[in-house]
Amino acid sequence: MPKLCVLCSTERAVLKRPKTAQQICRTCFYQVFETEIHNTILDAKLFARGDRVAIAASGGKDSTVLAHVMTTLNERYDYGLDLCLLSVDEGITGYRDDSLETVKRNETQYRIPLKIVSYEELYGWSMDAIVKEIGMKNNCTFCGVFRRQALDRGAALLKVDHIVTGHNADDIAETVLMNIFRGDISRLQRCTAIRTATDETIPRSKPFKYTYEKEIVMYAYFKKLDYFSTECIYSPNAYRGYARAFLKDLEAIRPSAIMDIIHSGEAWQSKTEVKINAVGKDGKVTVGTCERCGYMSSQKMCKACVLLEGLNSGLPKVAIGNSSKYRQSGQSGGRPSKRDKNMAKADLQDAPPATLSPDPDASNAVPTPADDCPVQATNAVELSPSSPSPRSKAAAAPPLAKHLRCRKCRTILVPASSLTSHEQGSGQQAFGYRKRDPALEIATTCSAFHVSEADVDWIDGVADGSKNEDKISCPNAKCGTKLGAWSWAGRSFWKIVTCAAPAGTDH
Amino acid sequence: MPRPQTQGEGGPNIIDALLYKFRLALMRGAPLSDGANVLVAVSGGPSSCCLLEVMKRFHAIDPANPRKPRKFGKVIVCYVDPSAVLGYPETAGQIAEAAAAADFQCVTVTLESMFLNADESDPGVVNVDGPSTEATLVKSATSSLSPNERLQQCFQSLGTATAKEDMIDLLTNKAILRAARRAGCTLVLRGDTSTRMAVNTVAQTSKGLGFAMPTEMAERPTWPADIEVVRPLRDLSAKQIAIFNRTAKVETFVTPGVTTGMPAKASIDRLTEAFVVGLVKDFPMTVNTVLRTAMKVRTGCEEKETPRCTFCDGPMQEDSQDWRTKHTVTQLQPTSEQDANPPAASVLCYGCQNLCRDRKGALMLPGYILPH
Repeated sequence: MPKLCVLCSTERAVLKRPKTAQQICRTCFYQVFETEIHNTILDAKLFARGDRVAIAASGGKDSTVLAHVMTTLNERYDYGLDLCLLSVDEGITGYRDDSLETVKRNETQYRIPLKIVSYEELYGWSMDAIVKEIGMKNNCTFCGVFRRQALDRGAALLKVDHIVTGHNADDIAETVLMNIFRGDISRLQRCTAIRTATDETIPRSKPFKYTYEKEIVMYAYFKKLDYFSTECIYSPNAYRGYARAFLKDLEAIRPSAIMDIIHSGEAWQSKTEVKINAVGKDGKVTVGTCERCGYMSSQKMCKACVLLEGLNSGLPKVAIGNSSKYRQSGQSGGRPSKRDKNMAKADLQDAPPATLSPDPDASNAVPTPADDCPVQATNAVELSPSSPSPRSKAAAAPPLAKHLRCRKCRTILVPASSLTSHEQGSGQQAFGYRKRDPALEIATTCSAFHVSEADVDWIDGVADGSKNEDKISCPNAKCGTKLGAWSWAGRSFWKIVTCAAPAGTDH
Repeated sequence: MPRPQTQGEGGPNIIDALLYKFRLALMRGAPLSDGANVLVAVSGGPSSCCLLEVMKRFHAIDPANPRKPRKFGKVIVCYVDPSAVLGYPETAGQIAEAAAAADFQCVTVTLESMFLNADESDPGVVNVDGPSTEATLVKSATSSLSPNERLQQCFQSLGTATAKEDMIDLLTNKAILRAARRAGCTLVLRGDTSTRMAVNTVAQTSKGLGFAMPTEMAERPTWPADIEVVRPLRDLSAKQIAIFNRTAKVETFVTPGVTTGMPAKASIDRLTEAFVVGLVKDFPMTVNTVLRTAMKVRTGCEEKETPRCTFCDGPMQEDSQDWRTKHTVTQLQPTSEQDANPPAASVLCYGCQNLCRDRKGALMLPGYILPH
C-alpha cells in the first residue's frame, strides 16, 4: 500500500519535504514551493507592475531555479514584470565558461534576454589573471568585491529597476550564525533584510529567503532543470565551514531550525535604513560614494578601486583590513615612500641578500664588530619594494628607494641601500667532527641584517653607547611594535639568532 | 574594592579573583537591593554549587568589622527537583545538607508542582491537540490525574530530546520564580556562567527565540517586574568555575539530564554546547564575542505592552503565526471551518509553539495557560 500525499490525499507521496517532513506528491511539492515564494514576494512588496527585473544568474542550482520560478510566477500571477538574465563572467576557465553555457541555454529555454558582463571588460583583469598575479590564496576577496560591483554595473547597463539573487534560507541562517560568532552587530541587524536598498543604488532582493537549499535541489531535480553543479576551482570554501556544518546538524535535529534562526534574526533587524551620505547613528554604517568611480562606498575609495589599484601597480594588497591609514597617507602625498601603499609581503628571511643591493664596498666583507650591527628581524619588519611591476597599467610612479619598514605601521627604519652583507661562516662545520656540538647546528642561514651604527641611531642605547644588545621597538610612538633584537656582533652569530628568533620561526 | 592579583593557578588568589568578579557582577546587577531577601537557585551542578559557596563567603560576617551590615537580608537556597522525570531523588537531600552547611535555609520545589496553581489549587489541564500545524487547546477543568502523572504524561508525549530539555528548563524557571515569590524574595541569583550563556544564546537563536534575547541577556533585566533575576557568575567561564571548585574543594552533585552521555546530535542544546565548546578550543574569545553581540541586540520585547506567552511568560511576537503559515505552507487550502477551541498560537510564543510541534499525540499542559 503506497503512502498517499498528506496534502491532496489522491496521489502517491514521492518525497519527504525537508522543511516540514511531510510526505507529499510531486504536484503538491511544486505548488507549496512556488506558493511560498509568491507569498514572500507579495509580503515584502518586492516589485511594482512594469518593473524591469534582472535575475542574477550564475548557472548554478539556485539561480537556475530562480529564473524558472520567476518566469512561472510572472505568468501565473501576472506580476507584469519584464525579466532578463544578468551574468557575471569572472573569467575562470573550467568553471565559469562552462556554467555560462548553461545560462545561455536558459536564455533560450525561458525566452528572456541575457546580458553577460565580464571582469575583463569592466576591470581589465580576469580572475585567471588575478590568480596568476596573487596566487591561490585570498583571491576570493577580489572576486567577491568585483562581483558585487559588476552586478550593479551590469544592471545599470540594462537599465533595470531591481536585481533578484538566488540566496536561499540556508545562506541567510548561516550568515546570522556567523555574524553572532564574529560579533558583527551591524551586519547581524542587516543580514536578514530581504531587500538591500539605498536611495541611489538599484535594489537587490532575495526571493528565496525562506526557501531551503534542499528543496531547491529537489525542485531542480524533479523539474529536470538544466543547471551546472561544481565548486569554483579557486574556492577552498573554508570560511563558512564551521557555521555550515553546525547548521546542517541543527537541521537534522529539527527541520524548522533554519526558519527559526531567520525568525530570530528578523527580530533583531534594525528599523532605520542606511542612507547615502547620511551621518552615522547608533553604530550604523554611513554610505558615501567612491571618489574614483562613484560607486557607493563607506570610505573615500570603494574597495574595488583599492584592490584594482593594487593589481595595476603590480603590488596587490591581498587582505581586506583597515586600509584607511594607507589611503590617508596617499592623500598627503608629500613623502614618496608613504605613497607606496601596496606592499608585497616579503619577509626579510626570504629575501636573498643579493637582491638587497648591498653597498658595493661592504659586500663580501665580513662585518667587523665595530661598525656593523646585526639586526635580527622578526616578521614585524619587511622590505618594501618600490618600483612598479612590469604589469603596471597605472601611470608610472617615480621610482622609490627600498627601505626596511615596520610591518605594522610602515614607518621607515633603515634604507635598504645601507644594508651590508657578509659571507656566512660555515658554523659548526668549521670545527673538527668530534668537537662539533649538534645542539648548536640550528642556524643554517644568517637572517640578521647588518647595518652601520649611523643608520640605526634611533634605537634606544645605540647612539649613546649605553647598551650592547637589546630589543628593538618601532620608533613610531603610536606603534611601538616589537621588531626584533639587535646586538653588536661581539657575540657569536648563532646566539643572536636563538635569542631573538620568535617562536615559530624555523631555525 | 582592591583588585586582587592573580599569580599562577591553584593558589588562593584564584578564589579572591573569582570573588571579586562575582561581587562586581552582583553590584552591577542588583545595585539597589540592599537588605533584600535573596533566592539562590541551585541545581547541584558545578556552577550553582560554586555560586552557593561564593554566596556563603559573601554573606559571612566580616571578622574585621562585625558590626558592618550585610548586603542581603535572608538567603534562601532553592532546588527544583526534577526527579519525577529524571530520577535521582537523593540530590534534593544532598543540596539541603550543603545549604545547611552554609547556614542557609533551603526550599525544594518539585517539577510536577508546576501543574498546580501557585496556591496549590487544581487549575485543570489543557491538552494541545490537532495537527501539528494547527494545534488547538482543549481545556478540561478537572482531571483525575495527580500532578506527577500529568508531568509524566506531558513528558512522554514529547517526541524529541530537544523538547524534553526545553520543557524541563521552562518548568524549572517558572518554579524558581514561584518559589521566590512565595518566600518573599525580590532577588534571584542564578549560576549561569559565560560559557553557559553563550551556549544559550546560540541555542535560543536556533529555536527562534531571538525576540526574547534582550531579556535573557540583560545585566539588570526589567522583566519580571516584581523579581530581579541576576547572574553573578556571568563574567566567569566554566573553566574558571571548575578551577575554583577544585581549589576551594566545593562539592558538586551532578544529576544526569536528558542528553547526558548521548552523542552531540541528541538535541539542539547538546549540539550547541558541543559546537561552542569546540569553537572555544580554537578561538578562545568566542564566548565573549557571542555574549557582547547578544547584549547589543534590541527587539523592543521589554516594552510593557508586549503580550506575554501564558506558558513561559516570555514576550510574544504579534505576527509570528502569520509569518509561519505564510513562509512554511503546509496546506493547500486554508481550513475554513472555525474550531471552537482556541488555537495554540493565540496564547503561546514562537518557542512554546515549537515545543508543541514536537509532540506525538496530545500534549498535556497545566490548566492555567488558558485563562477563564
